[in-house]
Amino acid sequence: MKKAGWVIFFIGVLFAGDRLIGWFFQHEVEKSQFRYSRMYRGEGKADIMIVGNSRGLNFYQPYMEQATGKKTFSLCYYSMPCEIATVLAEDYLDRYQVQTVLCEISIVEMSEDKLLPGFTTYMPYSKRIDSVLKAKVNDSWVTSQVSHIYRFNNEVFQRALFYRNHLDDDWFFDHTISERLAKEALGSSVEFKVPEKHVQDLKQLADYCRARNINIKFVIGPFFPLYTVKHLDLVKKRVEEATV
Amino acid sequence: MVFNSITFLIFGFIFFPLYFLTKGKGRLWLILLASYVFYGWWDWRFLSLIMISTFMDFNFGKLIGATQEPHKRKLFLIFSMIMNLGFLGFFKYFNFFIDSFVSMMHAFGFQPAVTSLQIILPIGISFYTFQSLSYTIDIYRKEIPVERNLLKFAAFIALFPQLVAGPIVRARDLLPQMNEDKKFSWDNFNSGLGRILWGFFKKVAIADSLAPFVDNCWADPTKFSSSHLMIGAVFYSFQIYCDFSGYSDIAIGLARIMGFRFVENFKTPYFSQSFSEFWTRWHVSLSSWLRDYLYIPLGGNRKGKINTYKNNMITMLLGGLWHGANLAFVFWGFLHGLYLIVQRFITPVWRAFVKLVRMPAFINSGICIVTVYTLTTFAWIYFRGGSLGHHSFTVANQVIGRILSFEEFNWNSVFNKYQVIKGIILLAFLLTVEITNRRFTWNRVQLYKPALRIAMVAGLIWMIALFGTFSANAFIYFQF
Repeated sequence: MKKAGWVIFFIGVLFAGDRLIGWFFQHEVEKSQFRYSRMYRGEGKADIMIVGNSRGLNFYQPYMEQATGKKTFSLCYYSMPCEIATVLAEDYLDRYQVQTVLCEISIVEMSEDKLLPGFTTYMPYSKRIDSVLKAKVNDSWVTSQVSHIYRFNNEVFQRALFYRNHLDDDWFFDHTISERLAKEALGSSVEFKVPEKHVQDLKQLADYCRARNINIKFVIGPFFPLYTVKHLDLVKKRVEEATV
Repeated sequence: MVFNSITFLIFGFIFFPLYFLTKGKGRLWLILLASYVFYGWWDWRFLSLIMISTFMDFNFGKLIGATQEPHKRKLFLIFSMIMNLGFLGFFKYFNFFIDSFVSMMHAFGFQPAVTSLQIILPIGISFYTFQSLSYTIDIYRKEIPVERNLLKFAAFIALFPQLVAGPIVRARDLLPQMNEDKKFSWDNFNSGLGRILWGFFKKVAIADSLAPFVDNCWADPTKFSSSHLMIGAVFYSFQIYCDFSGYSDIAIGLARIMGFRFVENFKTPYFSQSFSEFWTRWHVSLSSWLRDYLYIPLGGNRKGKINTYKNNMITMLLGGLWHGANLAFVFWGFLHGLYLIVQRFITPVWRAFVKLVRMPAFINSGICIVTVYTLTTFAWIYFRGGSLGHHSFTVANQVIGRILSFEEFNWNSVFNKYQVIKGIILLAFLLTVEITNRRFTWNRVQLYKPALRIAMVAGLIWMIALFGTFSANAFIYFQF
C-alpha cells in the first residue's frame, strides 16, 4: 500500500513538474524578441512581410528597410517547411495589414518532416500550426500533448531563448565563401523538385493575400554563379502558373 | 529488437511479470525463449547459429571435463576454438580477407578473379562468441566446473540483456547466479530502473543528439572548418561512449531487476591518467577478456621488454580487428598498442620531471587526463572512419588534416550551432554527474531516500523529454 502511495506521488510529481517547467518555458517564449514570439504577441506590424527559408533570410531586413524606407518583418527560418511557412504567413495576415508579402519560392521543395516538430513550441498560439503538426507528424503532436516539456525539445525554442532580450533582425547567413568552396561549386549542383502539394500551398497563400488586397510577390534569391541549379525554370514556371 | 523501442517496452511488460511468476526449469525456459524472441526479432535465421554454437560448446565443455589427458583436453578446446572463431571469421572477416588478398595481388600486378560473397553479419556474434569461448577455455584451465544442464547453459549464452552488445559476461560470473531462484526485490528493481533510465538518457539524449553533427563531419570533411571538425571529433568520443556505456547501463539494469549482477563495463574512462588505466575503465569486459585469454597466454609482461611490447601490440591489433573487418579498426588498435608501448618509455621520465619541478598533484593529473583523452580522441577519428568501408582512411585523414590545418579556426565557421550548444549542455551535465557520482554514488543513495529517487527519476525523464532524439537509432556496438 505504501509502495502504491509512492508510485502515485511519483506520477503526480512527474506530471506537475512537466506542466510547471512547460509553463516556465512558455513564459520565456512569450517574452522573447524572436520573430514568431513578437508576431503572436502583437508586435509584428510592418509594411512588407517576408516568408521563406534560409535563402529568404538573406533578404536582410535592416538593409531592406534602409533601401525601401518601409518597415519589414521576416518570418523566414532555416529549411522552413513549406506547410509551416504558409500557415505562419496566414497567421500573420490575420493579425496585421501589410502592403506587400514577399515569398521566397525555393520553400516549394522544403518538406523535411524532421523539421516540423520544431514548431511545437508555437503550437499553443496557432490552431493552424497545431493542425499541420497533427496531420504531418502525429507522433510528435501526441507526445507534445502528453509532455509539455517536449514542446521545447527543438532548435526553434533555443533561438527564442537566444533572442530573449535582443531583436533577431541581425540574423542572416554571414559566412564568407572561401576560395576553396568557390572552386568546389564548379563541380556541385542542386536539383529542384516541384511537389504539387506545395505549389498549391503557395497558391492558397496568394489567394489569401489577394482576398485581403495585399500585394504578393514570389521572388527567388540569387545563387552563386558557378553553382549549377537544375529545374529552377520549372519551379518558376509552375509557381507562376499556379499563382497568377 | 532494440532497447530504445516501443516493441521492447511491450516485451518487458510481458517478460518481467512472467519471470517472477515462474521458478526453476520454467524460468530457464522463459529466459531462453524470450532471449531467442529478442534476438530473432532482428533476423530469426541467425538463431540457428547461436543454437549450434551453444550446443557444440556445451558438449565440448563436457568432453574437456570428462578427460584428464592433456592432449585430448587440448584437442577438444582447439575444436571449440575452430568452431567459434570459424563462425566469426566467416561471417565477419571473409570478405575483408578476400578484399585484402585481391588488393595485395593488385599491388604485385596480378588480377585474380575472386568474388566476394554477400554475407550478412549476424548481430552480436562477436559478443556471444567470446562469451561461449571463455566457457570452454575456463573448463580447459580447470577454473570452473562443467555445466551439465543444457537448458541452463543455453539460457546463460542467450540471456537477452547482454546478448547483442555485451557486457561479455563470463561463465564463472553468471552460471553460478543461474542456480539461484531469484525473488523480486524492490532494491533490485529501484537500482535496476535507475541504471536503465541513466543508460536510456545517455543513449537517447546524448549519443543520438550528437550523432547528426558527427555524421555530417564524416560524410564530407572537406566542407567544414578546423573548429567544426574538432568539435565533431570531441562529440564522437562522447557519442560512442554514451552509446555503448548507455547500452551497458541498460543491460546491467535489466539484469539487476532479474536479480543478476553483471560486471561493470565502463568506469568513467575519460578520466584515465594513463592508457593502461584507460583499458581498465573502457569496455572492461572485452579488455579483461583479451588480457586473460590473449595477452597473458602470450606471455604478458613476464618475458622481457621486447616481448611485452610485442604482446601489447598483438592484443591491441586483435582488439581492433574484433571491432570490425576494416583496416581502420586495426589501425585504431595499432595506435592504442603504440600508446601503451610509448607510455612505458615516457612514464618514468615524466614522473622524474614531476618530482623535479614539484608539480602539484592536481596539475599532474589534469595534464595526464587531457593527454590521454586527446590521443584517445585522435584514435577515435580512425575508428569512426572504420564504418565507412573503402574510404575509411581517406575520410579519417581528411578530418585530421583539416583539424590540424587550423584553417577558419573560429566560432563563426561552426555550422549547426544549435546542435553544438545542445551537445555542450548535455556533456556538461554528463561530466557533472560522473564527477559527483564518485563521491555520492547516486544510484546507491537513491535506494535509501525515496524522495531523492523520485526527484532523480522525474528529473531524468524531464531531461529526456527536453533533449531526447526519438528515432529508435540502433546502438553503434550492434555492428561489432
